[in-house]
Amino acid sequence: MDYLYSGNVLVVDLQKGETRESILDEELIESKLGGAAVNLELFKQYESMDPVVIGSGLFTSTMIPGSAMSVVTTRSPTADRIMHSPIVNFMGAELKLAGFDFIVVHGHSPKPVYLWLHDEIADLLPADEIWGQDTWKTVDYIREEQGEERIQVLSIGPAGEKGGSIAQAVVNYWSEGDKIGLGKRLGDMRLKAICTRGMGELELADPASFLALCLPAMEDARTKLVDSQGIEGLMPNMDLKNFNEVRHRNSACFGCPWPCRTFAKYNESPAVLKEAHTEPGMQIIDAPGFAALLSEGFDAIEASRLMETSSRIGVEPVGVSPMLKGLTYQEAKSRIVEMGSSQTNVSSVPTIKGACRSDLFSPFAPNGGEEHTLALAYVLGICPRYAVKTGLDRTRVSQFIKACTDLEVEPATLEDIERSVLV
Amino acid sequence: MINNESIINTNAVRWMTMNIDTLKCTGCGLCELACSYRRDKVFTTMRSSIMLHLDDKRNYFGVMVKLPNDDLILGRPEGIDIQRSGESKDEEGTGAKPILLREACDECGDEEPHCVRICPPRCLSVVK
Repeated sequence: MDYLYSGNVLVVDLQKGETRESILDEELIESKLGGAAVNLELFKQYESMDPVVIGSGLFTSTMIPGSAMSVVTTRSPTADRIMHSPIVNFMGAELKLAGFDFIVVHGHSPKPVYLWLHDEIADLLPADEIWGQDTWKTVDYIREEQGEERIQVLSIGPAGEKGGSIAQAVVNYWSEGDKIGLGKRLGDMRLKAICTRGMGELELADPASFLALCLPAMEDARTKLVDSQGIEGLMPNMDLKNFNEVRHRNSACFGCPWPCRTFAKYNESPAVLKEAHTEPGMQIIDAPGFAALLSEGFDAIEASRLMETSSRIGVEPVGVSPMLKGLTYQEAKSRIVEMGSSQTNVSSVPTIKGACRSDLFSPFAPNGGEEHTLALAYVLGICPRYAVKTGLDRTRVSQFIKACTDLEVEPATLEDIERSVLV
Repeated sequence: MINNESIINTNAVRWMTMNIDTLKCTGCGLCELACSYRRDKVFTTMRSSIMLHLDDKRNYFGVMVKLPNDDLILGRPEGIDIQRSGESKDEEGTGAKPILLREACDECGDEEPHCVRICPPRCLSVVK
């Protein structure tokens, strides 16, 4: 593949402790484009090995608005079916820039390991020193060990190691898109973390045409997103209680015009702008998780702190919330910490009001939408929240595909690809 | 401390016609891609003259720009500052390609700077 992909598929056999690269099938990209659609094809190839497949979308890591996402496709242990889960923040983009378009992981490692991806190199490294540690310590360890502050880390906490289906795989320090039990899957594999730093580059077919499409697309995004920021922009009807006492800055994932995340700064004044406290608070990316904790009676500061504890232990906060009913803050915190020392299970993927096709896509986007928009977002690598908020114009998508890759893909073909995901 | 107004009147950066409203920055990093696109028509975060500084655990983010004399403009949340060439290297950025090893910003020659054109919250702007 000449454009937007480096052309490498990585296969990781954890049982043997081996990594192997293969060439990305160009015909597969021409017919399925990328993301969830290609992941499904790779999943079928390795189905007997019950793999975890991680793939970047066709547009991931470009200047196209919202192109922050890579996609995990695997058998959800809670739903017991194949599901897709987003990886956003900066990790979705960095995975692609590390030189591996798609990654297939299978088997069970005899010893805890982590996977370090950088510059078209894949290293399986011992995780003995971080096995048993929470996700925050895991991220700090890996960044220190590999000497890069911008390394992106998908990791599990003690809950994932114990193998409970409540476990969540966390991106860097924050609860994010995994609501399908990926944390349990990685724990069962004894894969503590997947981390990456993207030092590569992506080429495109027609740079001038691309820019001519990209600038008006960004202007459209600005218009549609005006006055919509932070977690209340994502969930306008959420009662945030006393959140203003800890509200810090809104921020965006890689390349996204919609800053739908809000930082809660509770260990120092939220008015502090300089680098000060080393662990000042919690990034609320998982607004549905935060809302679930608020609905159990915790105030915004308590809920923010419980989000931190959930992220550290590596548990999915929407599923956790009902287990905290009637508890004080301290009791609730202790209950979550206990989930790191015993196996805690949930019987289903959490129900999030507004989430579309939560039987197929991790319910990361609480802002509605319809299934074809989500399917196309998961193919292209556009954040589903952003895609739902602004819509995806298929004519414009076709034009972007042409400018980026020289492929002629009509809107009707896009719909066929969407249908292949909506199984 | 040099504030947003004074930066364009400082000798070391008088050539610079861009302004940075650091509190508008959302930390998305698109400026890096826009810069690599303009320079080499590729998407990478390794070649840009403007670089996102991100400490995600502290929610501390901003941008830095390399000037032709190797000074750096540091667009930090608390304001804009200049790091003179040869001063502390704390803000060079870690890892594969620190900003001091990159090409300096040339403001995209005669074009409107690409980072300015793409910046979603318009935290980067051209001073008329």
